[in-house]
Parts: sequence; C-alpha cells; structure tokens
Amino acid sequence: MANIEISDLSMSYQKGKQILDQLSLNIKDGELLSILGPSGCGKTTMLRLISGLIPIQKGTIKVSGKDISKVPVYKRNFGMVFQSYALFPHMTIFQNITFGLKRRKLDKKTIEQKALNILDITGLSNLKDRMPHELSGGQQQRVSLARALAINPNVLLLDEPLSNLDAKLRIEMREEIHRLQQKLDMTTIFVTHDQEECFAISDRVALMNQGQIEQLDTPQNIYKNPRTEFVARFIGYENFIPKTWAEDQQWQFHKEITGKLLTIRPENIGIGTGENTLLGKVVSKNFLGNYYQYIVDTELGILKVNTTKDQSETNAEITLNFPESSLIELEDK
Amino acid sequence: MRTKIKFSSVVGCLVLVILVVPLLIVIVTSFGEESAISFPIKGFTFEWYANVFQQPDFVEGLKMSSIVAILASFLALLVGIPIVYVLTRFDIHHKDWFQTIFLSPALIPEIVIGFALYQALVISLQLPLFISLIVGHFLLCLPYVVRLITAGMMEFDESIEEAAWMVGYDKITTFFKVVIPNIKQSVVAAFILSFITSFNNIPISLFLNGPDLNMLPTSILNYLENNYDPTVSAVSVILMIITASIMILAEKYLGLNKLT
Amino acid sequence: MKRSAVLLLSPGLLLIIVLLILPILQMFLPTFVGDQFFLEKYLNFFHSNGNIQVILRTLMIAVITTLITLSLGLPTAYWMSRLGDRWKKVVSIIVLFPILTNAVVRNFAWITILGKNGVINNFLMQLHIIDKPMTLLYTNFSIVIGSVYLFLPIMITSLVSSFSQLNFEVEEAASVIGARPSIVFFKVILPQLSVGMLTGSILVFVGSLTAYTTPQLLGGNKNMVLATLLQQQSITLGDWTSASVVAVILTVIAVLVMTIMNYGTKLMDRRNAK
Repeated sequence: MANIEISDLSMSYQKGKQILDQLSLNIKDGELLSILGPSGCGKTTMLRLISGLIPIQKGTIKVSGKDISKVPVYKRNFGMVFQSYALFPHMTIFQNITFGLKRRKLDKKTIEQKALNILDITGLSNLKDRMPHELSGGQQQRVSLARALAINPNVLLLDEPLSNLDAKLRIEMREEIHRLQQKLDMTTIFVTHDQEECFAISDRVALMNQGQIEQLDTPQNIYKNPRTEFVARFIGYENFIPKTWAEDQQWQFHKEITGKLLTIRPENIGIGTGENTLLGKVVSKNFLGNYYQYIVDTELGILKVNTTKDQSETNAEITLNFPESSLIELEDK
Repeated sequence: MRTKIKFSSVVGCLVLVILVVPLLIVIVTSFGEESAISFPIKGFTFEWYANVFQQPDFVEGLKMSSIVAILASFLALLVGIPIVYVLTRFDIHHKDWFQTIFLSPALIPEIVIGFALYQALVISLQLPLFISLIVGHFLLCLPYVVRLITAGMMEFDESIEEAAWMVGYDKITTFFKVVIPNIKQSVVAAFILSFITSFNNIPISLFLNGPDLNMLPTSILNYLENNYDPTVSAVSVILMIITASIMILAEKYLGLNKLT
Repeated sequence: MKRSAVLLLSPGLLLIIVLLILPILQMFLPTFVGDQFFLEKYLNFFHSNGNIQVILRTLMIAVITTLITLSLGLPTAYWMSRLGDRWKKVVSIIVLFPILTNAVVRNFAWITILGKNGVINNFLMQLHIIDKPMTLLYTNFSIVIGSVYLFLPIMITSLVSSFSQLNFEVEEAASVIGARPSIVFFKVILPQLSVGMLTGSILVFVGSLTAYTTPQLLGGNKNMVLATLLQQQSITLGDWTSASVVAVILTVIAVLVMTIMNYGTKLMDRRNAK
C-alpha cells in the first residue's frame, strides 16, 4: 500500500504547448482519487506520467516517500486498466493474468494459486480458458482489471476504464471497481470525463482544467460549493449572476470571497415573491419527468428554473426569488 | 442501371478470358511433340519437362534464385522490422523523411538499381557477385517489408504493449513476447511477398549474374534468345506450379487479401 | 531523439546510404562532367534522333498501356465489386495469379500467340483470311499488348479496393432522384474512384515506363525503349557513361511522374475527405 506525493509536475510538448503546469497533488494511502476534466485538460498525461509510460520533464513523484521519477515503467509495480482493455490477444484469460506473475520469482504453484484467487474474486473463473476475442466488452474489462490486480500492485491506475461500455454495464463495472478497491484497500487513481461515475465512487475528486487542478475536494463539497465558474459549469450549474448587478439590486448574499460571479442551481430558484427577487417572462416550459424546467427570459438573460410543481405557462410574466443560502460565490480564476 | 451492369460483366468476363487463355496456351504447348512450339499441339509428351532438368542453367538457376530470395527476404525483415517499429511507435522528428528513405528503393527503376550496384559493388569494390546479388534483392524487398509491417503495426493497439510494460516486462522482452506474436501474420505475408518479388526479378539480376551464377528468370531469358522450343513452356509451367503452391499456402494461413 | 530509436534506425539507414544512395550518386555524378559544359553528355544524347525516338516510344507505350488498363480495369473492377463473396474470391484469385507469376512466363505466352507461326497467324491462315503471316511480334503493338497483359491485374486490384469503399447508397440516392445512369456514373461514382484510379495509374505508368522484360522479349532490337537501351549501352556495348546518361533520364522521368501523381492523389484524398 502506498501514498503518492506529486509536486510541481510540468509537461509540455515540443511546440511549446503546456499540458501540465506545476501541478501538485497528494494521494492518501488506500484512497480512491478521481481526476475529472474535459478532454485535453491533461488528465491522461498526468496518469501516464505517474505510470512511467512517459518520462517526467519537470517535478517529482514520490510513492511512499521514495522518488520514482527515474524508475522505469516495468519496475514500478503499478497496475493499470486501459480504456481499450488492451488484453494480450494471443493468450488465454488465464495466461493474460499470469503473464505479469511469471516475471516475478515465484514458483508455478504460487502463480497458479494467485491467479485462481484473482479469477475468483473478479468472478471470471469460468472464463479462464477463453481467448480475449471471445469475451464481451464488460468481461474483457473485468479481465483487464484482474490482470492489473494480479501482480499485487502498489497503486492501481484506471484510464477511462468505463467509456467503451454501454450505460448499464458501466454502472455495474464501476460498482465492481469500487468493491474491489475497498476490499483490497488499494490506492487508486481513476481518470474520467464523466462526473456521475466519478462522484459515485470517489473519496476525493481533482477537477482539472488546462493543466492545473481547479478544485480538489470530496464529491459532496464540489457539488455543493464549486470554487470557480469552470467547476460550476462542468458539474451542471447554468445560471450565473454578476455580483455588481446583485449589489445594485441590494440582494442579500454571503460576501466572503472576492470574485465577479454568483451562481445558483436551477432547482434552488423559487417562483413567487421571497428574498432577492427578479421579474421574467417564461419562454418555454418543458416537462422532464420528475420536474418541470422553465426557460425564463430576464434582465440577466436566459435563466433555467427547475420546479416540481406546475406553476406557470409560456409567455406568462413571473417573479423569481433567489434564497440567500443557495447563492454561491465563485472565485475568479 | 441494367445496361451498365451487363456492359461491365461482358468486359469483366472478357478480361478474365484474356488473363487466363495465354497461360493455358503455354501449358498446352509444353506437351507438344514438335520441337518448334505450335498450337494446337501434335502428339503428347513429357519430354520437355525432362529436358528442363537436363539444362544446368535452369537447375542451378532454380537453386540460386531460391537461395537469394530466401536470404534477401530474411535480411529485409531483419532490417525492416526495427525500422518500422521506430517509425510507428516512437515520437521522432521528420518521420515522413525516414519513411521516404526506406521506401526509396521502390522509387528508383529496378534496372537502374542493378546497373548502379554493378558499377559500385562489382567493379569499384570488387565484391563477389553473390554478395552484390543479395544486396540488390534486399533493396528490392525492403519497401515491401516496410509497407506490410507498417500496416500490421498500425492495426495493433499500442496499449497492449504498454500493458505488458505495466505488469513488469521491459521493452525488448515485450517486443518478442507480445508484439511479434501479434504481427506474425504481417511478417509471414511480408516474407512471402518479398520471396516472390525477388524470385521473379529480372532487371536487377540481369547485371549481377555471371557464368557461374545464374538466376532462373535470366536463364530462361537467355535460353529464349537462342532457342524456341517447348522447354520454355515446360519451365513456365513449373514456375506457375510454384506460384500456385505459394498462393495456396498463403490462402491457408493468411487469406489472400493480405498479399495485395 | 531517443538513443534506442537511433540504435534501431541506423543499420537500415546505413545500408540504404552505402548500398543505394552512394552507388546511385557514383553513377549519376560523372554524367554531369563535360569538357565545356556540365550538361554536355545530355546535349549529345538528345542530339540523336534515335535517342529522342526511344524516349518518345517509352512514354507513348506507358501512356497507351495506362489508358487501356484503365478502361478495361474500370468495368471489370465494378463488375467484381458487385459479385457475391464466393465468385468474387474466385475472380480475385484469377486476377492475382498473373501478378505473382514471372514476367518471363507471361511475355513468353504472347510470343507463342503473336509469333510468325503463332496462334493468331496459324488460325487466320487456316481460315484463309490471310495467306502470309502478319508481323505482329517485335512491334510497338506487341510491346503494348504485353504491357497491358502485365499490368492489367495490378490496375484491377487497385480499383477493386477503391470500389469496395464506394458508397453505393449515394448511387442509389442519385438514381432515386431521377439522374440518368450515365450521369450517375460520371458525376457520382467516378469522383469517388479518383484516388484508386490515380494509384493504379501510377503503378501501371511507372511500371511500364521502366519495364525491361517486355520490350526485350516482345520488342526486339528495332523497338528500343529506355530500359533496353540502358541494357544495350552497358552490357552489349560497354559504354558505361552513355548507359549512365540513360539511367539518369529514366530515373528522373520515373521519380518526377511519381512525385506529381502522388501529390495529385494527396490533393484528391483531402478533397474527398471533406
């Protein structure tokens, strides 16, 4: 088991494009940390730097206090699950799993024992003599996970492992990853662009943008208190209010940080009078199952309001209220 | 629509006939009893096949052509595979320049390569003909190897190699234990195509053979200049049988579309 | 660059430089040395009518061969692409077989057909259509026939692969909106095939331009092309410098044609990708 300290990690391509910019991050022993962000934010590069698949240009990575920057990839003893599964096509499932074990100085019996154990806990025992191409995508990804775990790695690295699976399998597989991670108490880094799967299983989330971490926090805190506009937008906030405007209107809100914007979730905007009101006209009303979404044209532009009750019609003038406790202050970046 | 399909099938069938009939005529003439080639044939004999094996140039040529083709193909694979590995897996500058350099033997007319090698290797450097011949055929085969192996490497997911590194294998061991088994088909296809190309070559061998060093195709060419008898038909049939056997083998292990 | 990349590339690079580039330079450079003028040897070469004729003949044969293989190859490839899997395979084998068969064999076949006592003359004389054998062999005509026979399978193979990527739905959509078959072919299908046609044409054109065996066997001594001229100047006459001049001209034409046509292919590829 291991903790990871990443400090001042920078990486740029030859043409001067900065991929990672002095990034620092600590991952605790046994923690499942997700790196979340849009494509191109540097999350995959970061994982590949940690794994050793690409060499470090600047900065250090320490695992359990030991600098591993100069340790070649095949000596790091990290487990990795790839987006494309990357099973060895010319080997059976059993051979895929024992391939890494054979490199270690173990006798035949121990290797077989370990492999059977891993096959058992990943539920693959009945597939052990199949070839990879005979398996479904979900089964292949399970083998890929088993192969990574078989070598008893210090750290488990997951590179978008769910993105090639269909929706139902994705949920099943993420539960499986979570279960095994808890069971083995393994330090795990999970790279993804999907906030739902990331929030569901992570202890902490590092939300990345343009080579830097915008916010590092528990999923609950990120959801409730996004720190910047980028974070807020990425996790689904859509209504933004300039602070100077709110001050002119003499709205009540917490004034704790300096920044230009306030934000509020669509379901927290009330219809009718109350604190901090604003007039608007309903542009359209959409029924979305368990709630209605009103698109409201206001002085601030289009706002989205979600409510469980059917309260108004298209083209009607309505009053919106913005409870002080739901208005979130954002930092400028 | 109807008319066009009819037109194209008429042309298509005609083309097939044009492709097949000349070779059939050669096969038939190889059994004629007359000493000048004629068609239709008179009589039936295997004598010309026996005569093929009486010609030392043909027998030695067949041996030499096979040896040169095998050695040149092996050499091309030995040199070509590492090249392709670097060009497909490493992030290097001027990749397309390197690509062009390694495909360049295919840009230069074969007869010019033969002529240039004769002057440089045989005349200037006084290298033995056999060595020069291997060099010429190696150059002939290299572009095929580079093209086919590149296609094979492109189809092979890079993450699979990375997965082997992650579970503890260094890059060289990974190359032999994971990469080679998975591009095996391309390697075999490259070997077969190299072999055929070298075996059939004339323009390069033309300059690099000598009294004691005969290649089969140039021997046939020489024979044809002085004789016109069904021995040539018979040796042609033998060559066709060799081609057909290679095609059957290739189809069995690879599928023929790998060869084009 | 990484050390391992250098290590893996250098043997190949070294071999190409020492065994190909240097020998080519050794052959090329002396042709550019003259008593008065560096292009003297080329001026002398082009001064001879015979030589100009050789160049023109070489180019003509390559052009005509390309055009014939293209016009026979297009319908054939179209027909093949519409065959069922089983027949398609049989036909593909018939097309592939000649490609893999030695050129001597394939040219020899046409000697037996076109020769004085060949199949055609025998046949026509037996029917009393002609009473003296026609001269078919050792003419420009026989070289073209031999080249077409040699390169037609290659053209078909290039075209078939581009037909197999062809989007037949576009064709159907065009006929549904009422376009005439000929218009559908020229406006819808042909543009999609342009890359395959160019690739095939490069292979055939450059192949027949530099071919040695066919003109040697089917052309005889009167109908020289650049490749046979090179052979004659060097092996038969031992005039290395003149042979080198021919080699340079042949190489320059081949490389030039390939570069231009490859560039054209890239342009079309880009346009089609849009």
